[in-house]
Amino acid sequence: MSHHLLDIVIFTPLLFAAVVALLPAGERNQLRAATLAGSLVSFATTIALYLAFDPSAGAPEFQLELNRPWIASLGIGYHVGVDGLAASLILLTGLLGPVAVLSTWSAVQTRVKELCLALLVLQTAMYGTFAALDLALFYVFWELMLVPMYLLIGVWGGENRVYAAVKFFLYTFAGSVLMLVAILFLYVKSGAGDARTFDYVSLLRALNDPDSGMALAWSARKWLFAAFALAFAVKVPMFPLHTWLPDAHVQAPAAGSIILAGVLLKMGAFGFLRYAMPLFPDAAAWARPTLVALAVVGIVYGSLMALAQKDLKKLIAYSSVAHLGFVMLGILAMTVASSTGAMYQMLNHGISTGALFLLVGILYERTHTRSISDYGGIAKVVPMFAFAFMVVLLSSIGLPGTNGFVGELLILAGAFAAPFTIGAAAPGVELGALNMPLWTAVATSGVVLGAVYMLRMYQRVMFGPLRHQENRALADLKLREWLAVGPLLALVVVMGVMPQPFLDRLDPSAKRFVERVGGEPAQGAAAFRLVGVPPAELLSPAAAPQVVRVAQEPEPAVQPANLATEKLPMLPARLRDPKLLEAVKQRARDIGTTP
Amino acid sequence: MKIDWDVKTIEDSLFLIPLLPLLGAAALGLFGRRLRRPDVHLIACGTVATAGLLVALILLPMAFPVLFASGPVVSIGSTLGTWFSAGGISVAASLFVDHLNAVLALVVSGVGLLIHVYSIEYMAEEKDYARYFAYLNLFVGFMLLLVLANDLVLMFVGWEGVGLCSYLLIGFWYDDDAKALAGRKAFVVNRVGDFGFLLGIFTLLALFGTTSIQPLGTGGDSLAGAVRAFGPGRLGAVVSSGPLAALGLTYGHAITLACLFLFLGAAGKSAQFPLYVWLPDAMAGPTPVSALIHAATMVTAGVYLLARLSFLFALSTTAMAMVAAVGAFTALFAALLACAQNDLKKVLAYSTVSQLGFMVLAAGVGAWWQAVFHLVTHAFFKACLFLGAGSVILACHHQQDIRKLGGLRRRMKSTSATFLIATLAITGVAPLSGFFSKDAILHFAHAAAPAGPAGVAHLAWIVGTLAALGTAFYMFRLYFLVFEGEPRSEQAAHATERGLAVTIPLWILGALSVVAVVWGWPWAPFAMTTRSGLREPLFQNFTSPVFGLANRILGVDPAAAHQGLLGAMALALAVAWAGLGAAWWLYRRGGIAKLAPLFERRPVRWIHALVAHKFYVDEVFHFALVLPLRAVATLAFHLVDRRAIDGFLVHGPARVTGWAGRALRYLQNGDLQRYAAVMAIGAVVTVAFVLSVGKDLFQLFGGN
Repeated sequence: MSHHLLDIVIFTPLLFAAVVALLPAGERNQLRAATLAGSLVSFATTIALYLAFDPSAGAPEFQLELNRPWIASLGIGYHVGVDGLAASLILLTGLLGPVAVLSTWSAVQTRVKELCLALLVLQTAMYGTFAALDLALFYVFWELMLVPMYLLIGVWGGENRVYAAVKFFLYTFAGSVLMLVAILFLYVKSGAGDARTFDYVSLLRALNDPDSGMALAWSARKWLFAAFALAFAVKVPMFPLHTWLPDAHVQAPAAGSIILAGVLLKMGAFGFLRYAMPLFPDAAAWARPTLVALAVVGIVYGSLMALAQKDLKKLIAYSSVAHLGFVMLGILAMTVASSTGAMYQMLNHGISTGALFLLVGILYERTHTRSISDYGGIAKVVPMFAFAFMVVLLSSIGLPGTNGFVGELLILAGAFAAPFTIGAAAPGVELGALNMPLWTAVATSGVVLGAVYMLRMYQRVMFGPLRHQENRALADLKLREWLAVGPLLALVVVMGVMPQPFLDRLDPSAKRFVERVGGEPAQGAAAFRLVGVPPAELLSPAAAPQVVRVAQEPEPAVQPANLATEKLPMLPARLRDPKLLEAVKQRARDIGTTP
Repeated sequence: MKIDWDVKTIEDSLFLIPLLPLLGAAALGLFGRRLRRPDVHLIACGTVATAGLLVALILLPMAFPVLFASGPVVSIGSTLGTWFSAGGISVAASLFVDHLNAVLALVVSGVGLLIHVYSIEYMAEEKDYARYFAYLNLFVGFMLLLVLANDLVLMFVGWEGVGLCSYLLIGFWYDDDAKALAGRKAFVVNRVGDFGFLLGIFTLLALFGTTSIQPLGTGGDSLAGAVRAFGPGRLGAVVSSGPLAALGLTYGHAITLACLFLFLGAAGKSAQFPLYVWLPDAMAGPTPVSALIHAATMVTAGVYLLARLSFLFALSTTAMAMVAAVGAFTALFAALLACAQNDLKKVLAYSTVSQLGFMVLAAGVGAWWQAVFHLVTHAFFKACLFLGAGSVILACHHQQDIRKLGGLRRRMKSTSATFLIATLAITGVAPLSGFFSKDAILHFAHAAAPAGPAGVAHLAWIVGTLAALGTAFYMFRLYFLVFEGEPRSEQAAHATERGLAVTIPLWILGALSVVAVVWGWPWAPFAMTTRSGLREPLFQNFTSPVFGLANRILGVDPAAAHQGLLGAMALALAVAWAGLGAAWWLYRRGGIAKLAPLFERRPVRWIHALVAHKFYVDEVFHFALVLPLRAVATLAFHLVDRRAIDGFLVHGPARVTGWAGRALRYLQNGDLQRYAAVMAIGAVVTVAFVLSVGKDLFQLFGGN
């Protein structure tokens, strides 16, 4: 069973789509129930997948792998498998599935059957994109995602939906067509005749092995990286390729926004981590200064844009640009800490921004306005809603104790300590150096700006006197809405307080990524050591929980005004305590000072 | 006969101390609406009291080791495990208690409990009763976490957590726009500080590889351990390994950088210039909240941070000088502003800013224990003052304008008596606690400050003394205007004092402001005699293990701290009396009326207007920072996002495609004659082309 788990995960939604297709189009609640059931079963399969993944150090990179020929004559295989990152993102996708379905329950009343089909097909496409280990298969799933999302925006969207849908499609498509060319180029260069392959694992090995005979010229590597990077940068979206996002979000129905922000944006970052950078590490090193700068500009610029918005959904969309800037900074810093943080932040952003769009959707369903100025003072009317919104907002601005903080801290602390230049580009190519502490400091200002725009929005929507009488009778969260919001709120706290189980699954992926792109010269803790600290001080704490007592701090001999002696009149017994004296000596030996 | 305390059990329960109030907050937040009021009190006060009791259990063997079989306990710690760890960054969920934070934890839970009790009466008419206590409990929990954390990142959790509670409580009556705005301002200004705190954490991580503060038991990295092994001798060496090597800094520079970043964080939380702007606005919150959060505890977190990392700051004279200078300036600046305020709570707010300036000044000149001692005494008398103000506000139906109060001494006996005690304590007129804590700071700055550019400490002493003069003046101005003379409004004339829930906390805090004298008394019978024959106050003696490392690095001369003590005290007393006298003459003897013509004159009028408008600092921030930020955002949205990117880069190609399509449309208009003509021309061109260059092309493709 377990060796078919990935098949089950990927095709369960499609199976339910078939069921939905057979149901009569008029029975809306039946359709919704079937879709909800499908997404819940699908979520269960992703949990099983997540738990089946073995994150231990010796475990293979790709697990639950399936490799069967698909179009053998062209070297295309149905090769799927997950690493820690893909398993985590698949879990996130599974989680957001039912949330999206619940958000459409009463919000969408037209073409319900088609909507349900679109959501289920989209689910399969997203799973497939994360699981694919064959470039052709990856591309098929990648483009397959576009269609349902295009329909979600174009059919069930707002007043300007066609413009937004076309913009979304063309933007993304322009990027991915270049990626297709790059994939075909790799295929052609991968061998001769039948030896040609689209297989990711073999291509990765061949590209990074000088003896494989697949040596590409520097210019080719550079252009190939650029083609992949462009496709992914549009999807992230990185500044200045982000202008499709606000339009798409504003026009999309809540379900579309949840999936778009929650999962689809992650595809871009995922593509950098899985494809663009490991396949062409030296080109990535060469492009790193530019990309880091764009990521940091994205953080500040996105925050400023969010500050200028009058529309709730646009504000959240621009906040995504800033958040994904953090993710990209973490990836491009190329340290284990920062890339682990980036991966974690991908999950966090999916949850918090998904929840934000869900909540705004709930509000929109009641009032049919997204304009901030149409609210004001509604916290008194809908206290539960205000509470849920506050929790999600705190996660979004990275308050410690919520999931957002852990990701941001790892990204920024890792980037602050990241190398200025990475590896070596091709001979004769100059590598730019980047003052990472300085750029990280600029990025950290996003923490302040995030609080500025988010709290300003919250105040104008929730606080003050009730400004519009028509909001007087606004209904608070209903049970069905709680079912969608509640799990996300719980995850915000759980992932903030107990992040380690989640981080453990990302750790192997982050380590392999950094190794492949040649980041962070000495991996892990060793890079951080202060020279000269005696080894005894370097021991890591033993297994937890652990309770210890600290002995008296030893004073140097030069200063006889010892604490113990100073308290002499009060504590005559102290000096005679042999246990204490022994502890002091031991302590002094430990830290290497002369007692 | 000794008490056989099982320290292990206490250590195991260390995590309960912050956890209990947090659980109380969760319970109140989730089920508060369904609970009866007495149950709300029980949960809110009970959890805080239990936490305080646990702290006291730990503090006892520290304070009276002679009574305990366990012997002297310098610090105890407990590690629950790793909070998170990735790529060499590891944050332990570990708490510890030593002589410094034991005191603070007791102050937090003790004053917190008193203010919980006081709030029962103060918030009695409030509908959102449970929500208020949930926030208050949440605050106490986060504050205890902040104080007890043994890791800077964990401390940051408490640090931002208390900031959140402050935000929620300032804006407690959120349907008032001004109050909600004040809460937001507090949060955002604090975030500016937190930006510094974060960068400080990053710098320390990059330099030392750890954010753990003290070594616990057998090992683990820690900042204290690293600094102890590092020693000041290597400050001049260039950082040659690790992530910061590429910057080419010396260790001294890197540590200075880290300290300055952290100080930015401390300045945000402890309301130092120019980040103090949020604190006066924070008075929009309920008065017990002002007492607990914005006077006694949360705002002192910055001072605690400076004291906690004393060993690190001691390594950087530049950072110390900066801290001292900012502290001294803030002390004087805020004292000046307090003189021209007419809102009861605003005067106290600027007073808090000023007193925090004294503490920061102390930390900057190396007077660590004095800074913490002043923190503790200030917590007592300032909480007492705020609760007294709350009592006045309750009695006078929210009349806070001191020009409209007056004569309350006869109507509010307990309030006026405790207010007077606390006023005497803060001004240092009589030998109350504030006298000893403030004088110890100024005397140390004058006589013993060992570090930094020599001028800074002396300048700090002069500025601090002037600020002390201001303190005595504005505090007695406040006292005389509120409690003496005749009532100047209906509300003041009919004021009635509230019940025991209000007065008992007042008396306890008033008593503590007096009793605290014992810890700072520099002579027998309370002072301890060290082996070298010097006397030191109990508080100094008690906290000496904490500041031993910093003092060793700084090379503080213990003997110098005793020279000229009496002279300094005489000066302090004279200054205090001068301030009191000036206030008495102006506000009790009608001096203000005599001076009125002077205030009509131009330069005096201008200066008074400048002070009364708080030097227009808020306006400067608004016009120099807030408005430009918004303008840049809006402008960039329209110019960059709309015009440049969307208009040119995105719609541009789309438009070109459109034009091209329209242009090409003419080629396919169905006119056969035109098709034929084009075909003919094309054929001619092709033939001509092949004839002229065809041979070359043929060769180019490999033909021969």
